[in-house]
Amino acid sequence: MTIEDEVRSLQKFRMFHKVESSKLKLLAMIADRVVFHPGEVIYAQGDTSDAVYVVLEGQFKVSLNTVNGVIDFAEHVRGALLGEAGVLCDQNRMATITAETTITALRIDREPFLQLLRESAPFNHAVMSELGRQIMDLNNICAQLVQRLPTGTPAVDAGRKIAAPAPSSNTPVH
Amino acid sequence: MLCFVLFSLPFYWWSLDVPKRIVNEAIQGDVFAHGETTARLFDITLSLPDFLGGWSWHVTDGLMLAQVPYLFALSMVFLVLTLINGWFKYVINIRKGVLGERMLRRLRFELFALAMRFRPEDVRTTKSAEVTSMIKDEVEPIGGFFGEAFITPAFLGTQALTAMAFILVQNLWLGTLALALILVQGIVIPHLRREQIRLGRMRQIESRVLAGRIGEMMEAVPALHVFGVTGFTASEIGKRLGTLFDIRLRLYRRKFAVKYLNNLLAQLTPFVFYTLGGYLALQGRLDIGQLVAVIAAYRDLPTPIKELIDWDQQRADVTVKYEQVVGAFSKEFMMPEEPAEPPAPIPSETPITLVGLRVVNGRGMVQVDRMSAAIARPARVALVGSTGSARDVLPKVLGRQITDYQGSVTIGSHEIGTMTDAQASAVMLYVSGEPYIMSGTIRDNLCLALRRAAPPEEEPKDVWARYWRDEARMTDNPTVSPDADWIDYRGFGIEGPQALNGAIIEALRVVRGYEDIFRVGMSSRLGDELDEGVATRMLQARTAIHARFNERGMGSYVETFTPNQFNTSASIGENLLFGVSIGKRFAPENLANDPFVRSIIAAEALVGPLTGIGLKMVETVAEAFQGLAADNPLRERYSFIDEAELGDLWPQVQVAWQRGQRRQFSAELRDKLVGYALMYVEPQHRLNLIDDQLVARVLRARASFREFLPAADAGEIEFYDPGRLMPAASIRDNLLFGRVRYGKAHMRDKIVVAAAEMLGELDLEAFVVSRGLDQEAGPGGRLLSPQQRVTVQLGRAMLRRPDILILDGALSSFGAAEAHMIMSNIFEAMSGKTVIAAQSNDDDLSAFDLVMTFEGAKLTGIERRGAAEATAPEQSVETPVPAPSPQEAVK
Repeated sequence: MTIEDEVRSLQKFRMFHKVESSKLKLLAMIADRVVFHPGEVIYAQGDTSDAVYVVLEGQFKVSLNTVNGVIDFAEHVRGALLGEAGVLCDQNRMATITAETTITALRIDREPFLQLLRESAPFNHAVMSELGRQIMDLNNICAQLVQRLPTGTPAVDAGRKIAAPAPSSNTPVH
Repeated sequence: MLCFVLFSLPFYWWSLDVPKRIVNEAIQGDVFAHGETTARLFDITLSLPDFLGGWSWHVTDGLMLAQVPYLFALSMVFLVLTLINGWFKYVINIRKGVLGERMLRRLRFELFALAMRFRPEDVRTTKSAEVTSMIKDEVEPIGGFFGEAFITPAFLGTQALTAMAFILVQNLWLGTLALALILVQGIVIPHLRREQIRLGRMRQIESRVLAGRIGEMMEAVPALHVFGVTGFTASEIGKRLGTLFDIRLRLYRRKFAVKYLNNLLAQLTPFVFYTLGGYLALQGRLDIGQLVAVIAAYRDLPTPIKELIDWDQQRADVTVKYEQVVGAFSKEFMMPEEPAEPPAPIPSETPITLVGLRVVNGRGMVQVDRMSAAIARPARVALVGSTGSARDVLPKVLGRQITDYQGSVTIGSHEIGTMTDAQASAVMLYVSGEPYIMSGTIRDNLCLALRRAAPPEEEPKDVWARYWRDEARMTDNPTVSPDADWIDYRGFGIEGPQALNGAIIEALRVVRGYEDIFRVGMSSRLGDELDEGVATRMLQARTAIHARFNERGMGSYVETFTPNQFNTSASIGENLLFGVSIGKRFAPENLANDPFVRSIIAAEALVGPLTGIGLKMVETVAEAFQGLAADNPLRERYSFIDEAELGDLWPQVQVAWQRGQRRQFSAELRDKLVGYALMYVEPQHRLNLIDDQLVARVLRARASFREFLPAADAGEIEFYDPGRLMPAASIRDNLLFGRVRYGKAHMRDKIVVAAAEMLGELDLEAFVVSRGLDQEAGPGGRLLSPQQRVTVQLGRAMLRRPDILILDGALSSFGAAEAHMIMSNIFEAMSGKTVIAAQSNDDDLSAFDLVMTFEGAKLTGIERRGAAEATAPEQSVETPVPAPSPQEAVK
């Protein structure tokens, strides 16, 4: 697979429709193509957000470790872009992403990704609208969930983290 | 030295006297006038004047000589005297120089020591360039003058007096006349020069201001362009230059007027001598010899007098300079001088007490408003508030960065503002967000904080060392060499020099900088000065690491160098060379221009395919990077294709296309394209340009490169050989002996981790880390990333582990998550000690046990949390996280 192929795959995504192909080529050129086999972790909850992934092919699973066990969630808000929120907000990974089938993805390091956002307005717009779409989807899901709750349940709080304390990720090199 | 001057005087007198005797006695033959054919020479009698008893001692009767030998003998005496006079001048000048240099050294050192004692506030308002130029340049003429200050008037003055006396002895009239003229010179000229000195001073001040303004404007050039106000600034400089021109012109006028007068007076005297002296000689009241001698003496006279006048001028100049420098270095407040004895330690549980602390900045703004508090130790104190509030000022007061405050801040009866360095640094350490990195290695920088022992003075081993020490003593400079071991091992609980690396590693781990240094070490050059054990273990590690990779199923992710296989993870150029370039000649960027490489490429019919690859790369880059600035980081992966070069190449490529002659590129263009192609790595650049045919050709080229490499160039390259280390390659390349394959996220890290484990097992870890620590930090740490700089700064603090650590935005250059982890590590390492940290409102404060909240200049709340934690601080890191409570102000 060459850069040309990657650009063609990118063009198929709805979010990249308005991005000119030279910028998609640039995206591909600054990215590494990486492959994950089924069961391999793309990134784990609590890792530093060092890169953004664009999944070209394959299925993955999103899961969240909580004190009460693992929740698989957000199946409905799958997008092509993985890990952009953590990179943008400079937060550690919120969830664990695992490959379900063989995944081919483009990995863009944090700094080049942020640089590309500054460089190309259409690309910036594409990422923003993708985030916007995810928020709308999440709102929809929230509404449905709230509907299911019995009346009188206390309101949820965005400040309360249900993620289990991050497994110490500062393991030394050896 | 004055003795030398005195000793030199009789010789000077004689050298004036001898010409008279040559003319009178030898040439005119006075002593032979009465028909003698010989005369007595060197008849020396030492005698005391009559009033001392008139004792005399006849040294020698001398020699009887005829007229011609008499002349020659006298001439020889004159020559010897001239030599002796020259020698005296030489010795006196040297002594003068040594004296001047010593004074200069002492003065510079004293100024430096004074500058070291400036208060932090004053340092901030001083331009470091000014201090530098004062210590370095402005002081220099002063130092040079020290030697002159006493010797010149003594030497020249006595010389002038001798000459004067000589003239007077020869003829009272002529002498008085000469004296009168000299007195006129000596009175009128300094008077005229007074104005000259005033102008000189003006010139000095004006040019200093000019230099300052130019410096300022150079720094502001971008802003000046933005506002388009270069015209205004140019006119300001023009005006200053005008003022300077005017002053200089007036100075010149004055100077040459004085010179004119001086010359006139100097020329007038010989005129008087010739007319009056000639008249007297004709009348027979003065003999010709005397006249010649007087004129000769007078000829000599202006030089000392002139130099004396110059000396006076210089003295005035230097006095002005000295006053200015001293003025700049005398501040109203200075930090106390360091005591020689180490102060009594301050017990670690004495609290920090603030009573009525009030800080007003230079512009009268209140920064901290009358706050009182007591901080019991040990404690973890968070100072919370918005940026610019007192939470940014209090750490500076505690850290002695602001010593000009009202009220009192004490640690066990010691006022923080007036503590000595030795006393304060023994208990506390202030770390700001602006690290000071000095040039030197990372290790030097880390150890900087440890260099506070005073190594004992060593007895000098040889004459040279003794000379160094004596000179240092004579000028009050420190006598202990900076090369001595200044590290205070005992004071910081390090066992000795061999345990230092361990301590550094531990400190780096705390501040999460260890991996980074390890990585730097891994990518630093192996070098060829390895000790034997390390070298063998490195080779062992190479095979062991590959075995480890295979065990973990990672074997296929490293593509090792195999002689008859194309390494797809390496560039075409690397595949062709199959070795590490030692010099510049086969370095990747020069490869395509090397005649030998070029001939190999041509011989294997690679020119066509490589040009094609280069062309495709240029096309891709030209398309994708269109409109990106030349230094845009996105270009990094293709950074070998220079934007400026591309601008040149692209039109040429297009022209060649339009002519339909794709392969007809100029030699220069072709070399460029081949050069790009040699950098091509298929899985990285992914343009699908490598096929089996190309691989076969490159492999053939590899073989012929090795075969035909001229013996003379064998030292330029180290071919890959699994059984040998490559000194020119990095440690990582030596260990992996191959390239990490692309296409697997995190694989590089995992491989490095596995390699690091192996290194740990083979006891090579310390070697790699010490290589990392040996890397240069660059002036001001410019070779390090901002994070690395902060890490080094924090590492210093962790090597010290002070009783009180003050973090004033020290972690602000890290992301929130990273900062949090570093902070918990620091807490862990500092358990039982005090940490005071400025935090922002939305930081997680759960690990602190005292939170002081500020609004503007006011302390609005003190909240003590979990008193139990203070006694068992090591638990508090893992406190179960309650919903982070907002910092309510407790009034």
